[in-house]
Amino acid sequence: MISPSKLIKLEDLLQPSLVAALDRLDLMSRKMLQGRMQGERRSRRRGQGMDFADFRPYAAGDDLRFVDWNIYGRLDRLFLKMFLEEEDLGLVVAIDGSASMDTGEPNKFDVARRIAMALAYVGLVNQHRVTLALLKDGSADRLTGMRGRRRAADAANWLIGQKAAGTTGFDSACRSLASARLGRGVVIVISDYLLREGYESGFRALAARGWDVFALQILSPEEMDPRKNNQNLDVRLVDLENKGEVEITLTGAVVRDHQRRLETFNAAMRETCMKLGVRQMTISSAVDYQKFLVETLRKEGLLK
Amino acid sequence: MTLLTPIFGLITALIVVPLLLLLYMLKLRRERRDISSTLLWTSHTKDLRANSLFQRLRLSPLFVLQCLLLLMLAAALTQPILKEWSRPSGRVVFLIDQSASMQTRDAPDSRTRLDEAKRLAIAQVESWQGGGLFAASPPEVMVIAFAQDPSVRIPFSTNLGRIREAIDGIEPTDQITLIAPAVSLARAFSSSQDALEISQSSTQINTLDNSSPTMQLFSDGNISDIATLSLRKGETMSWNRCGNPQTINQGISAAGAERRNDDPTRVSAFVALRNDAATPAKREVQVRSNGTLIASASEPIAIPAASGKGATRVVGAQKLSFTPFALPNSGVLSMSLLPEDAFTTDDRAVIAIQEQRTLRILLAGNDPALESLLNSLSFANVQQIASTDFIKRISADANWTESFDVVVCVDCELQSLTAGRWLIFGKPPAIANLNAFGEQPRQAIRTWKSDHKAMAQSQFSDLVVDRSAAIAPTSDWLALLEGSKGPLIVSGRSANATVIYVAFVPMDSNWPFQRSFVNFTAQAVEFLGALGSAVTSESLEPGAMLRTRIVRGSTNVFIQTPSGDRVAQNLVDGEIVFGPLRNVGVYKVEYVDPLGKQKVRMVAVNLTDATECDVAAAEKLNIPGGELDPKGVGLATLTIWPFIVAASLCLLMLEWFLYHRFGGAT
Repeated sequence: MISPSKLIKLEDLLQPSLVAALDRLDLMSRKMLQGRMQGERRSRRRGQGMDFADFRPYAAGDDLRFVDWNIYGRLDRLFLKMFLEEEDLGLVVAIDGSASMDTGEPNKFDVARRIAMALAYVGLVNQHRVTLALLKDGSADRLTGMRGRRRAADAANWLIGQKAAGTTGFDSACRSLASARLGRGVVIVISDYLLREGYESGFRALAARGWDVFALQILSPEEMDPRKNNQNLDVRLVDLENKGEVEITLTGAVVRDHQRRLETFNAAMRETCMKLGVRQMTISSAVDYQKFLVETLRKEGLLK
Repeated sequence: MTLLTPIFGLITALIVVPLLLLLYMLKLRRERRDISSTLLWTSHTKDLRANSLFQRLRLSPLFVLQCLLLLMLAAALTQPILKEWSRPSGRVVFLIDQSASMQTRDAPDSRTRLDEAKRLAIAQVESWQGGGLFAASPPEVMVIAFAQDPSVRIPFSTNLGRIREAIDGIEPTDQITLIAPAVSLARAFSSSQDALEISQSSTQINTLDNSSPTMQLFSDGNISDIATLSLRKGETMSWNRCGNPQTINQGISAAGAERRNDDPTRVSAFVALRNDAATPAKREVQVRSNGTLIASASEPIAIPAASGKGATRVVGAQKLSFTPFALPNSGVLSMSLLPEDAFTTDDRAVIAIQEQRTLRILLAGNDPALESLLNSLSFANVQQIASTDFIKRISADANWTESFDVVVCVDCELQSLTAGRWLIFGKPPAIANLNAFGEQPRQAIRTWKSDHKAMAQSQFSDLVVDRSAAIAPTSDWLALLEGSKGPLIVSGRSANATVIYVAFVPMDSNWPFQRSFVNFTAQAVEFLGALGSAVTSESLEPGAMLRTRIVRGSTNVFIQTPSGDRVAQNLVDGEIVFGPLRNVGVYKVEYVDPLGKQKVRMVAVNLTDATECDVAAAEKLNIPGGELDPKGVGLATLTIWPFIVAASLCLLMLEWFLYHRFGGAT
């Protein structure tokens, strides 16, 4: 069922009530990532942070400001205090911009953009390098180099200006994204993943570049239960991307069979993601996305 | 089982089943629905992608069920019926019993047997009429209602509305059941209609159905003349029994009342009760005079049980007489058996008591024995006249004799009989009915009719007549006493005269010395006088004709029936005839006499017929040449299509369940 996008302004993307909750969150990566600039992210690297981490013997060339003189006084040996270094993190939020995303009630593309905006905002307020990307027709349109809260409006305007159309070209788009000089960090790919060409090689390309990949699958309620919001059982299903048609009678058995196929499809996706070290999650577009951001993603370890 | 409309069902099946096949082969026009991807749907519909108008027929359980469903509905449209409902060929005559026993309330819902008979008849006609456009034409139906006298309610017709109206309009009567006249009427009507149709169009002779009609009898089987019924070759009769063979009945089998000879202001009453049950019964008896309770048994009267079976069966009987009570004026005496049972007609009996009065008797001629006897009767007021004077007087005034209740003549030379009631001894009157041809010498008595009211309780075997008139009465006259050489006492009517003629004078026989002379004379006078309602009215049976004489010149003559209807009557020669009487109760003859006085004469009608009061429905009807078995009580026939429709609905639900359980695309 087509339910076109309705987002037209910033408040539609990021509600003020959510902003306060997002201000307290930060991104979390499962990988040791080398940031380009000192940021506010507490990395696992020892360095010039505020939090003490460990001691190590002094070596020539070390910064004398970090020598623990109290220990030198007791032991007469030089030890260097080590701190958890705070560094910036690369965050890429990529959205599937194909026509298939512009369906569902609520609209999958709208929900994807809201989640993307929220995640980008978390990245911006935590001084990470935030990139927004739209995967569409085999390429990845990007808005890069954003840092700081002030860029939130730019991110929002960019997202509002995007339209879902055409095909995804997931592999090409992911390779295009991976080859861009965006450093390393966390890449969150939001799509329905109903891709005829598959998604494995795309994920593989991203992971090969050292990205901590998080695959967020959004399905509309109608995709989970095809009889929802549909009185007529005898339908001709038309694929929005390749215009392929399927005639079907949506009886109980057919719907149950379809749901079994969807579960099988999702299970295969989870297995593939696990094999590639990609975190994966499936949500409905009807999900309470505020609760999803504040609670579910924290439990999943993407946010802290 | 018979199909009422096989062609209709066949055509329907030939249309709908191929149509279903076509629908399965045609591709369904479906609603377009845009979705994100058909990735997960493609394997569902690999064989539904053809772009042709038709698709390959896939035999699915649903298709089989739907075909079966349509075939069953088509079968229902053929209106299958059980054999009992089978449509007869040719014509059908419904003989519907409307006799008294058909008022027994032992049908379902406490309806009467007649109600049940009408319901069955209408249901049968409706079943033949059904079928719609493709049904064969229904048979022609004639309805005859019968009890003692049959009547055609509707001649042969196929108009369902008129037939239903005719059947609905059959009213119950209290008459006995005679089927032979009804069958004769059916035959006459069938043949007369055939003849009429043939005469109207000679070209249609070969197409007419001249076969005998099928007769459908709706009755409880209590038919008095069933043993005389014989079906002709080609005639068929089936019996729809209405009523329960186990129904029992107690009732009043006889009732009487008479003024006492010693005190005419007092009335003696008696009642006889009957019990058809195999067990004794106890019933309460009440007697009312003009609606006021005047006598009641102190406790319920025990009526013995019936005994024996079949032809040797004897019903239980109990007789009861009541202490004489004062009733100087006219009135209605009613006797009731309480509580009432399923058959209420014989639970009541009525007797019309006329006003206390004496008979005015004119004795013409000289016979000392008769004169002495008549003067001794307490209810008689005798006026005597010489025979020659009598002849002169009636020659001058022909109506004079009618002013007497009875005219007794002894050896009068009567050239004709004027209106009145005559008891004539000796010389025969010159009327054609008697055919007098001289004298008979001495003769003894051969036989007599002891069941005639004038002859009851008399023994004539010792009577020897020395000389009598030789007569050969016509067949409409009844011989009451047969001598060895010819009739000696006869009874009959001649014009407006009612006559009992004794072909000898008592003094020419040894009769004056015998008790039978006293009994006969008194009873004959009372019998003739009763015809004018002098003492008490005779109780009539339903079906009889009410025939009574009233004073010439009376006006405003009406008969009020027990149901309260007033029927105007024409007075012809001082006599009115009404009937046949349909129901029991008191009929009132109302008139204004020539002096302007309003007069009322009451006639009681009671059902005492033993066959009609035995209300247990017959097990079988034994007619000459075979037996008729009943089709059964209640709905003897059955339509099948509602059951097929019900089964189709079950099949439809199964199909619906399978459709949703396993899916339409499977």
